[in-house]
This record gives sequence, C-alpha cells and structure tokens, in this order.
Amino acid sequence: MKEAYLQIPELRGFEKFCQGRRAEDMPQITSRICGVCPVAHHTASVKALDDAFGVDPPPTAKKLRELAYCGYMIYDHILHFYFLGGVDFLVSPDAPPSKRNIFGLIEKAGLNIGKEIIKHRAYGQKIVEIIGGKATHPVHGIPGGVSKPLTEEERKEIEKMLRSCLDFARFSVDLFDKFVLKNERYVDMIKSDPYSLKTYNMGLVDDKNRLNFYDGKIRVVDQEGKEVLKFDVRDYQKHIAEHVEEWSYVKFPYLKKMGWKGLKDGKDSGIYRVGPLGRLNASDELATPIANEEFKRMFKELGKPVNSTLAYHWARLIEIIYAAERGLELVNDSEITSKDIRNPVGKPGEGFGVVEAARGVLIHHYKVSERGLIERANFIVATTSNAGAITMSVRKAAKAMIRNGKIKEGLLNMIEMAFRAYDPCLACASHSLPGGMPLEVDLYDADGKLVKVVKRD
Amino acid sequence: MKHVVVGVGNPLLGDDAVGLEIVRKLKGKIDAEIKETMACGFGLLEEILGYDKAVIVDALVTNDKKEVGKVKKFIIKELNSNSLKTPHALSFLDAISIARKSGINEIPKKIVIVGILVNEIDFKEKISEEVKKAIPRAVKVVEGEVNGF
Repeated sequence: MKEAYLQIPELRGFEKFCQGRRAEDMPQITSRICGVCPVAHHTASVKALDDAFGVDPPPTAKKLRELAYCGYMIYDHILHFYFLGGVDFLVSPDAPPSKRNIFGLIEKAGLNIGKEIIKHRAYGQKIVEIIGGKATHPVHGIPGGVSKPLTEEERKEIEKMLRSCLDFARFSVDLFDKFVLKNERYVDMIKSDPYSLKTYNMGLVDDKNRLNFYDGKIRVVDQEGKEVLKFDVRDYQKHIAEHVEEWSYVKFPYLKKMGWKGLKDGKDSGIYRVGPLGRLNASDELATPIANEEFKRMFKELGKPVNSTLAYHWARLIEIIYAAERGLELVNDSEITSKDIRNPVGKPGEGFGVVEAARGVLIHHYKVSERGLIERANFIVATTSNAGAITMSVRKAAKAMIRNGKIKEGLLNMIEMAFRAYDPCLACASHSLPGGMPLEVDLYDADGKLVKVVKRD
Repeated sequence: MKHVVVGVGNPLLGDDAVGLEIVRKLKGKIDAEIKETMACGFGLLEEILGYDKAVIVDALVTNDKKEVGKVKKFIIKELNSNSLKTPHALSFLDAISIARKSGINEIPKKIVIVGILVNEIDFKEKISEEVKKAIPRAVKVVEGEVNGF
C-alpha cells in the first residue's frame, strides 16, 4: 500500500459570508459554525473583537468567560470520551460493532454509569447556560467584557456542579486506568508504531508554560520536547502558513520555520498537532494539583513528548480534571461576582483572538472597517491544524492493516480509532456542514486499478 | 397531558431555519410549551424531558428536488440504534436510546417528528419560496398533534 488520503469533499464559504457583517454580531454568527464548539468560537470571536476595538476587559469579565469555558470543556470532553472515542478502549476493540459503543460500556460498567455521564455532561452545559445566558450558543461575550454579572446564588450552584464534575473526572481517569492502562494489550497498542507520529506539538500556555484554555502565548515544542516557538496570536501569520492540496477542501496549516515538506512527520516537516495531546506536550506542567499529578503520571509512563495518537484519550481525561479544578478556583475567586464586567471600546481596527477549543488552538482574525463592519475574516480552526496529522495517522493505520493486497479484518475500526482519537470536527475544518460520517477505503493496485472497496455508512 | 413543541434549526443556514419559523407561528395558539433550539443529540433530548408528549419540528434534507416542500410525520418507537452517525455529534435517536437504557424516566411517552423536506442547506438568511409554502401546512400538522390527542 503506497498512500492513503483523508478526503474531505465539502466546502462552504463561511469566511466570505462574514464580510460586511457588523463586527459585534460575529460572536453570535461564528458560534454557529458548528454545533459542538460554539463556546470556543464565541470566545475566540469576542477576544478578537476586544483586540480590534483596542479594549482590555476587566478581570471579572475575563474570569467569567474562562469559567464558562471550563463548563464547555467538561461537557465536550465527556461526550467525546464516553460516546465517541473512548469506548474504543473501554469496550474491547475486538468486541462486535454492536457492542463497541456506549451500550456496550453500560453493559460492562453498570447501568449507573449512563446516568452519571449524562448528569455531568448536563452540568457542564448548565454552567455555560448560567454564565452565557443560553444553552449551547452563549451570548455573554461583548467587546470589552461580558453582558451580565454572576449572582451569589448562581455562583453557589456552579460550585456545587463543579465539585461533582471533579469527582466524576477522577472516576473517569480511574476507569481508564482500570480498563486500559492495566491491560498490557492496550498499552502495547498505544505504544505501537502504527499509532505513533513524531510531529511538533502546539498549545496555549501562560507565563509559566502551563496550559490555559482561555489565554496565553502559542507555544510549539519539538520532538525532544524543547521549545522552538512561542508567539503572540497577533504574529500567527509570521509562523503559520496554509498549504492547499487539490484533493481536499481542508487547508493544511504548517510551521513556516520548517516549511511544507509534504505529509511527513519529523523535525524537518512543519506539520504540528494540537488538541489535548498537542497542548499537554507543549506544557511544562498543569496549573492545578490533581490534574498535574495525572499529567506527570502520563509522561512518566509514555515519555515526553508523547507521540502515541491513542494517548489523546488519556490527555482528554486529564483535561476534564483540570477544567473542573480551574473552574473551582475561578468560582471561588473574590472578584467573580463583581459588577465591573465591561470596559469601554475604542476605534475599530484589526483584531486577533486565540483560545484552546476542545480540539485544539483556535484563531479568529478580523479586519474591522471604520464603520464597524467586517472587511475580512480568517479562521484557523483546531481540526484544520490536525488535518495533516490525521491524514498521516489514517495512512499508517491503513498500511499496517493491508498486506499484499489483503485487507485484514477490523481494518475500518483500526483506521477509525486513529481518526477518532483526534475528536475531529470536519464541519469546522473544512468550514463545511455537518452531516454523516461515511467511511470508505478504496484499494488500488500498483497499476491504479480499483481492486476493492470497504465501506461503512 | 403536558406537551412541548421544539423547533430545531440554524437561522443562518437558509432552509434549515424552517423549524424555527414554524414554531414561532404557533406561539399563543396551542396548549404546549414552545421552544427553539439549534442543538442536536443530548442537547435536544434535554429540551423534551419531563413532558408527556413532544413534537419536534425540523428540516429534513432530500436529494429529490420534487419532494421539496412536503411535510412528513414520524413517530419514534422503541429504538435499538447502535450507530453513531457523526464524529462528535450524537444523533438524537441515539441520545434517546442511551437515556432509556440508563434508566432515565422523564422521556416523553410519545415523540413525534414533523419534518419539512428541503434540498439545499447553505449560508443564507432567507428561507426559499418552495419551503416557505410548506409552513402553513406544517403549522396545521403540529396543531393537530397537540390538539388532537
């Protein structure tokens, strides 16, 4: 097998659609790019507007935005681990497809787990709803701050939910430990070559090089874990460029410093990874104690940086702990119920906003006219950044499963596992509309003749 | 009997907004809680928990242009769906299955989906003429579901 390609045949002109719009509508418009990361887009958008209007929001506003963000991370990661990616592990990858999902997990782990998962996912959503004003698509972000303060009653409610989420997060990590890390077969699979990539890793870090979802500098580390870049989002165009391939509508971002060398990993190729694994690799430690202990444990077990794609699932669980702990810090902050939540805006211009979406670094870049309208908008979306890596992961998994023209049983699942680990959002990545996820593997022989097609709708 | 009517759609995506338009026309006209949402999967499920009957109004995409503007009704029966259709958005049907299996009791005994067939979903702020024509018909269907039982 020579090559494999991840083809994303959908396109939409979201960036064009935004032209001529009122700048302050962008946090509402962009939160609808995708049904799953609206909080991320909303927050990146409002930060870009802060920048475009030359205003620094008061501390309380930033803390409220970050607190809502913790709620989002919690529900998003819980959803992915328990319903989508994580079940690959919790129920054996050899189990029949009919059991390799949440139903199989409920069977295995007990009926109660279903309720706990749903409950805590709902808590995360409720936290966003309380601060954001609406479930799913928040409306609290405005240039210069947020639109409403937190009451003491709301504060108490959020705190209660976060404590429960922290317990559930720790339970989830224990579950992973019990079912996956204590199982030699899985650990071998995690460490195996078909599931390994030696790319650069990128994440948002604070001034102590600790992951922060809401703000910081963009940091890139190399294959030895050494820092090679650290920059402010305003300089992203100096460091990140996008490459276009004719067979897909997804743009492939890469590091300009190393250049585009094709779909390869290693030191000479500019391809990097974002998302839970990418950003934990790019951090020196985590800012909250329990998450940091688990952070150290993962790197002790797998080395630093971790190259194993399947470790994304572990990293994701560690992040739920961090989000819950960080949320508890914020909700207990003395300023969190202050009414000082907005600073006045200045004249419009160019603005950049960056956050860590559940899936990775997200950048919004706007040029706002004198009249306050969007002249141009550009988005670097998390899954776009991972597109190169995902393609390579799919390729490696496929190569391992296809020998002498024979496709091994379970090929599709092995490829899917590589792909699912990234929690990809193809809607965001190609700025396309969400739909189904059909998966098709076309096998061509050396003469380019189609030999076999393996499909899944 | 407590009813809820939920309009599902994205106001920026042209014909996908039709579900929202329909439920807006029902405000004050029927004995039901009326909601609008852009959520799918669990988010949508959460909107209907605690009611005896739920009517969900949404656009359904068809490739057959001749079908555009038709109004179709489905009743959700006991499901055994094990397929997850998108990378990270759980389908509504799967969310119901999971909730049922997890022993969540507040799921409505009857869930009806009123679907309006559309062909194209793209970035537009207007609903197309063909689909607009279906709105009064769909309103009647929802009214029937709420008043008739």
